[in-house]
Amino acid sequence: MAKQAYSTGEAAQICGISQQTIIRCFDRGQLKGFLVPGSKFRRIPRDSLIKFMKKNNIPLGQLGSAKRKVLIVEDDPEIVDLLTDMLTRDGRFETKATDSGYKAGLLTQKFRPDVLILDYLLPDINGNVVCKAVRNNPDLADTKIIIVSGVIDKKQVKQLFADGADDFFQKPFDVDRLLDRICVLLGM
Amino acid sequence: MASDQDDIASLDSRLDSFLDALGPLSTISAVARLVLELLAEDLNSTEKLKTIVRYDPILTAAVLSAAATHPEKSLTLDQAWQILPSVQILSAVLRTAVASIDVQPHHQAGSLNRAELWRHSLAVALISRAAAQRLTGESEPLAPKPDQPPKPERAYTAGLLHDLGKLVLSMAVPKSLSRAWQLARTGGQDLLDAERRVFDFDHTTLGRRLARNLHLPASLAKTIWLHHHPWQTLPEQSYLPLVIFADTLARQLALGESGNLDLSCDAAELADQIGLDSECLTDLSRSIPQELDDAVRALALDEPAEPQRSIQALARLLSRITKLHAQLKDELAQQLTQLADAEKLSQRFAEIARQAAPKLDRKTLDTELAQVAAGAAHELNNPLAVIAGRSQILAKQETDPRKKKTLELIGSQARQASDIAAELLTAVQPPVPSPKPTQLEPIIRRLCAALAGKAQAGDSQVNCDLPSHLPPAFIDPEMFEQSLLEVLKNALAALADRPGTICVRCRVDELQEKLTLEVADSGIGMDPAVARNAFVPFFSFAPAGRGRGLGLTRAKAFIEANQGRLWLRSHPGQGTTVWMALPLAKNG
Repeated sequence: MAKQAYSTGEAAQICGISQQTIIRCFDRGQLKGFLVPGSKFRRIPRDSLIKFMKKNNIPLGQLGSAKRKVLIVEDDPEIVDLLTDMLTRDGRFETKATDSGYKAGLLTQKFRPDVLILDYLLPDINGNVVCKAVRNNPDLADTKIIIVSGVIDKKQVKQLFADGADDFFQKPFDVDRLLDRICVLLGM
Repeated sequence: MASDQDDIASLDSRLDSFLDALGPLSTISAVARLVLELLAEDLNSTEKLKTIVRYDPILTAAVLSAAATHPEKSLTLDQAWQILPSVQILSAVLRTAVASIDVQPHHQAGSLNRAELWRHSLAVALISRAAAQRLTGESEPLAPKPDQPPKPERAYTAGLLHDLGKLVLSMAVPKSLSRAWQLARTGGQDLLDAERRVFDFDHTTLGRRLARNLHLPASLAKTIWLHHHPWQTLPEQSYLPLVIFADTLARQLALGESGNLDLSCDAAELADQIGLDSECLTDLSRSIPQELDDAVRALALDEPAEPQRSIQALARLLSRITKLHAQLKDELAQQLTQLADAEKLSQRFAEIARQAAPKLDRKTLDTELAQVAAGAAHELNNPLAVIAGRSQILAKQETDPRKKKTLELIGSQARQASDIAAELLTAVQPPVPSPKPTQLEPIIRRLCAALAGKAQAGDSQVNCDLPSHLPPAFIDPEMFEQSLLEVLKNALAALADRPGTICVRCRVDELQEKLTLEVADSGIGMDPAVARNAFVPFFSFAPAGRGRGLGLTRAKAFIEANQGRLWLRSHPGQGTTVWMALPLAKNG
């Protein structure tokens, strides 16, 4: 699993700029991060660093080549297996799966996925609720959401987009198209 | 001369007002009960139904009247049964049966026994047919024309209906008819004179007028009108001589009762005149009574009416029709509304349905079907996604081109299966429409133009004939477009690669606040059995695999979700016409 937070020195190295610049940006709030409790050491979360690099057109370099995280929220184990297989074979993804909306909420906080593949009809809540919860969390602003579902009418799909979904795939879906879409959404 | 014509006109108008006051024709309640119980048991038992109709003069008249709209004139009962859509026959029979439920438990018919009059009609019918059978190909009959031997079935019908006027009088004004008969019996009067004294007209003129109003074949009307005349004096005789002979023989053998006691003519003499020998006459006199008994039993003529049972049967029948409504609802409703007094009938249906089956819910079946479709679509999509996805992943790795192709086929078939489930769902559970005032003309013209392109490839034509100012309809434009597209696609498919025409017309009915769009093709058409199932999901006219048979189902569901109606009529070889009635925008 890739490193989750970097020191200012590591960040400077990744970005190819001086540590002073990183510290300045950190202190001005342009680069979000936290102080290690009880010390003055600055730490920059991976997501925040990536956001900063993208905003300033700094090539992602080694960060970009790190595996992207996909959380699969789906209650049918066969579909989970299929999606996991699809993403693992590609080689550029790290996956986790869960089977309910509640667990999905907990896992997004911890796992910080780049992409959420979300079944619309979950045993506890519907996909749109998960969608809204993710969108209401500023920490997850960059997380892409792809809804995958069987039967759903046009109006529901429209509502899902309004609730913050980035794309919708109808089951049965085309494996290659889904994969392509994930890559496009993540700028890969 | 002028005054003669005035007299006839005034007589006709008196007869018409009398007939108008009667409402729909009715038959004996026991027969009505028999019909309702039979149909409540099985709506498709048309052969059994035909047996009843064939024995009952009023039901026969109702079916022949329904058949009169058919381009082929003068259909016999058998032909009508073959050619007419069964729903048209059913509605004619049902209309009569429902009108014949005698709800007043102690309805008095005076001293008149209707069953005996029915028995008489049947006897005349059976004798006429038997006589016609003997005459066909044998001897040189005087009647009806040397080059045209009498057809037994037509002779039968002529006999069955000859007393149509009297049958109607017996149902409508039994006491007065009974009084007329009394007059004839005690006063030694001619029956027709006695009737004229009581009613101001007699049963033959009433029957003639009724036959004309029902559009029954002219030869039949003539028999009904002139069966009390000496046929020898008439220029054109048709089935008249046979029926007069049969009437006389029936009365001589005391088969039923007709109120006519005049036995001045002798059956043997008449038989000789029409070319039947005495041996024949003896045979008929022996065989007919037995045949008549069988017919009377089949018609339940001697059984009590028991209106309660009729109403119970009607309730069962309604519930059956409700269950079958996916196939029958609209066609039947359509046919019924086209009949002149359909409104009264449907009111009566509704009334009886309310009383008899308050819990009857027409929508239950729709909802259940939609739930099944939704469940199936949802349950199927996950396994189909796994099949499609797995086969796709395997296909990517596969190097053997044949195996690769097979794997790809598995994937595409799985996706197709899912599409079918989704289409079924939208067909039975259409999306909630967003109706708004919509100008249909651009949509219609655009779809017609697209269709014209395809039609031209097969040397076919699309004519789009719309009024100059088409007011906006109140409808979901997308759903309308999809429905019209399905209907047009069906029309093109019906041309079946032969040059033909598709006509799109539109009619606006401001008064009823609706517009009716008509799509008529000159294609292969459908026989009644196919037409009946045209809206049933997966029922496709196209060869298996070419169409899914959901197009018309969906088109209809979409239009109905928008408070419109969609129905069709089709004749094999003549083409199909589909109508869509749509609500107009209120202030359009």
